[in-house]
Amino acid sequence: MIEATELAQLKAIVRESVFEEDLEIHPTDHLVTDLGLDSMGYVDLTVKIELTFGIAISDKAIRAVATFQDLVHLITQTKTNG
Amino acid sequence: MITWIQQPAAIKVGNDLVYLPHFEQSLTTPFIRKVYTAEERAYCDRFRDSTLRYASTFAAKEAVYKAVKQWDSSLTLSWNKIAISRERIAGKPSVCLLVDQEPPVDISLSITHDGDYVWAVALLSARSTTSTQLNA
Repeated sequence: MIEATELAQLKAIVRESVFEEDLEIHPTDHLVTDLGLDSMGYVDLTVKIELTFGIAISDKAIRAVATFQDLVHLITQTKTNG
Repeated sequence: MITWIQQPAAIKVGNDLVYLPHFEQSLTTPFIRKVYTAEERAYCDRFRDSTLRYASTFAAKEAVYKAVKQWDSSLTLSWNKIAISRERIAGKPSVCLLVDQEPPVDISLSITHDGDYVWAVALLSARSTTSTQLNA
């Protein structure tokens, strides 16, 4: 799991990537259909996560992410496995 | 390594719309490094309005990605493996997939922009079903 502060950071990143600073984010929210992430947003999100968390995320992995909790899981897994 | 599985002859389409004011905010150096090839960067940077060129190239890449996904949903191409080039400055765009095995497809591209939006369309046509199976 990621820590509460990291979760808050991640939510802030998602809000930046969808250009909605007041967006409410729930674990089961779909990044595209609920949160409004577009193709450019996927790249923006990936770049910001990599810089914030110091990890590398493959294009294939980020493209497979559907919901916010999937994104949390991906970051947790990447941090664990390196 | 990607293995291109022969599919029945078909035409698939992909498109992408980019909103320039948002794109401009996202276009950072790490973004450019992740998405664009050296040749694409050199092309876009030749223009005073390089953001528009980066946006049109991005829209083209995404349109190609979606067309390829329609053709074979198991394939996921990285952004920097879809290389967009022009025959001359502001000329006809074309695409080269930077993968180990050339896919048995032809892809035609069209890009346009108006005001704050850039739009690209990719039309993919799979070659005949009798051609050779390409295995990794």
